[in-house]
Amino acid sequence: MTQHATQQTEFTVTTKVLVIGAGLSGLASAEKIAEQGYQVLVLDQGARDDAECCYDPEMNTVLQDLRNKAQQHSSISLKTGARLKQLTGFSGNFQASLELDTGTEQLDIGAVVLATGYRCLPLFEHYNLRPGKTVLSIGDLEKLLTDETGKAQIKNGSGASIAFLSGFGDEGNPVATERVLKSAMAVQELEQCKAYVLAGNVKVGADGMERLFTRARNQGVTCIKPEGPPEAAIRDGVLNISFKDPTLRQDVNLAPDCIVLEESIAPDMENERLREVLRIDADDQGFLQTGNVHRLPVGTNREGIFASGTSAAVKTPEQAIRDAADVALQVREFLGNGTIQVSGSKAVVDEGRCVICLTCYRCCPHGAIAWEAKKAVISPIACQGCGICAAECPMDAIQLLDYTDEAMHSAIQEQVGTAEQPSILAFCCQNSAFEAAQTAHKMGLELPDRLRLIEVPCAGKIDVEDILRSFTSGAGAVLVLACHEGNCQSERGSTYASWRIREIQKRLKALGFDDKRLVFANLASNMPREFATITQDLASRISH
Amino acid sequence: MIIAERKPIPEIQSFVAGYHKVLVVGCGTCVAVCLAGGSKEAEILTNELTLSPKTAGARFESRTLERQCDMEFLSELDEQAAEYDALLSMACGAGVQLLAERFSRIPVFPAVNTSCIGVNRSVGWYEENCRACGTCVLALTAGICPVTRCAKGLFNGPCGGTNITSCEIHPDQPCAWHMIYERLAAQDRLQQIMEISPANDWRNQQPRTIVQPGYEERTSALKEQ
Ligand code: SF4
Ligand code: SF4
Ligand code: SF4
Ligand code: SF4
Repeated sequence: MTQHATQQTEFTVTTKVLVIGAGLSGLASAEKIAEQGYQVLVLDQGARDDAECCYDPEMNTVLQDLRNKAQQHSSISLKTGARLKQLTGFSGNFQASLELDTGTEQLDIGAVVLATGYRCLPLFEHYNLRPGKTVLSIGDLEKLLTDETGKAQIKNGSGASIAFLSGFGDEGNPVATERVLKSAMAVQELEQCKAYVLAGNVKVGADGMERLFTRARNQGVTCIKPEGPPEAAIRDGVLNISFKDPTLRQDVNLAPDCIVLEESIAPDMENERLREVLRIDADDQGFLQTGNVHRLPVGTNREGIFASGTSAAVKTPEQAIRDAADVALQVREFLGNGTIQVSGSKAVVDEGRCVICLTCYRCCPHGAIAWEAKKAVISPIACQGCGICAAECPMDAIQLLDYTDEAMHSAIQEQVGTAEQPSILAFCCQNSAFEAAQTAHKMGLELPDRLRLIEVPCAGKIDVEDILRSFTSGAGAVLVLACHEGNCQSERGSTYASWRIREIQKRLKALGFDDKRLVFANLASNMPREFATITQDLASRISH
Repeated sequence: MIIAERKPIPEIQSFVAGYHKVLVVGCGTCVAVCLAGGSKEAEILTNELTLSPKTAGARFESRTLERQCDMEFLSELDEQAAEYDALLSMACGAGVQLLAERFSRIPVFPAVNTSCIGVNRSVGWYEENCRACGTCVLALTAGICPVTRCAKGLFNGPCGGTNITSCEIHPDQPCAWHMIYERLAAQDRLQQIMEISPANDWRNQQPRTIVQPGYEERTSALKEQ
């Protein structure tokens, strides 16, 4: 494909940053961003004081401290009772419409940082128990532990035994484990009190968690991992937990004075709305970041929109605060000093052809497209050059600079081979299959003689016409090789490609054309052997 | 907007069988927006026909016009059309007919089925919302068309067959009149459901010619010419 000399274009961006959420990560991010010399506006939408850190009294001090600093900082303005209603414009030059106590306000901003919190949902129903004086959620207990009256209530005069049940109702995560262990240790410290932790799924996959676990045990907390979920009930006013102890290999009954139940952690109520307003992807639980390995730690699918702390995933308060440094770094990289250089192969709309059908706007995985003056407009700053829009446009009105329709057309013509020796034309995503192919070549793996490669920026760039035209021009077989789903740099490019190929296969079949000559496969860059197998298989199949 | 769907390829092939040079004519408005007949689809169909063993030997080419329901845009084809022995239109039925009228010496075939007037839900996903009854009652029905979305097209409802949210014909078929009820109630104008809409005069479905107010004289002057 014709690679254009990398051309740099300069753009001006707004150096004001909007932070949504005034909890730990929001305020910490605001501070770090302001330190870089940017103006920061913090909205207390979503996460407020308690959501991220209620379980750790120490964190409340940290939060108060952050809040004081933010209030005193001349570049940070903190708005309470405010929410983001609408975001238009493009990365680097967004127009935000804010809803304030005093009415609405329009604001130009360059970047958005999401820092919403999460909600804790008690799981009483899961354990068939009703909340009461002796049946608490972990959140209830944490509140009691914050002062002497609460502690006295836990001790209940002469001392008490408290049983924590965790990891049976919810899948579990390091935060849940940390909460249980910290509370159990606090209980164990109370005079004449004894803590039992009955845990299903103990997640210790976060910094310092293993240590915390050992410390809790050394301190006298009894930790048991029962076989299967325990049964908790109140009989004649007496609590009873029965479970199978794997060490004793027998059923054990425990009669604690109080049962403390886990809470599951759900995303902030605001996430769903924000995700629509900001047009960003969320994971299946509703946290504002997908597990895409190509994303930077705090990145989202849209340029200039970052997800920090608990807006992105369940994180401990320490982790949430640590994100601030990453966020500030990314904001700096993105906004610079207000003038940024953009280069690379970007998509461009031919205004004369655009019928403003919105297909490109709806398909672009990076939210890089909007419409102005009745035509689709693509932001060169936000465009990642995947080419999905170009492949989907029903009027062929979008061209990706290094991969125009014409360039694709001639690349196909050049590679299809002859009538005696028709090629196997492999369209390879540059992020995965193309690398696998190069490696296969270097390793000296046996590849079909007739194999020809066409590199594309993303499998989502390959359009139906490219494939049909390969066949009409004489290719013997066509391979479309995409990244694994969930691993696609353009999020849905590989999915779109697989849908398209299935549709073309159906159409080929209806034409009476051998649909086996079109093959789709997912491949990672470290799969050269698979690349060789797939291509060899196809070669042997079409030679018969 | 008009929604259309591509016809199955065997049907299209049966139309063009025996012709040697065929022009696939895309339409760059409604059918482009609903992904059935814009320039991309025109080119795809051209490639499919080229590829098919059944139509081997014939030549297929494509061209997309702004709109096929306006003579002025069709005239752009005047010279080129003569080179072909058949035209395959990807426009809605209206476009196909005007194309067939403009090039009446050349056989013109439809490549799409014109389905309905509808809305775009998302890429490639449309819902029928209007049947052009000619007497719009949306004012009384909270903006939900009973002709299209009530399985029986009732102008007054709901009927005795409602299962509240669904219609008696199928559990997956929502009861439009229930939706109308809900929305009217939410807007605090439920009393409007009691207003009886007279039966539509379906005789209006005969070929309709619409002349906008203020254009009557212009139209008759043109007709006299
Ligand atoms: S997909 Fe093409 S025709 Fe549709 S809005 Fe985008 S550029 Fe315009
Ligand atoms: S090339 Fe990809 S990122 Fe760029 S506008 Fe098109 S779909 Fe969006
Ligand atoms: S011919 Fe049909 S599809 Fe084309 S613009 Fe006219 S109404 Fe729309
Ligand atoms: S009542 Fe329904 S069918 Fe009749 S014009 Fe209104 S929307 Fe169309």
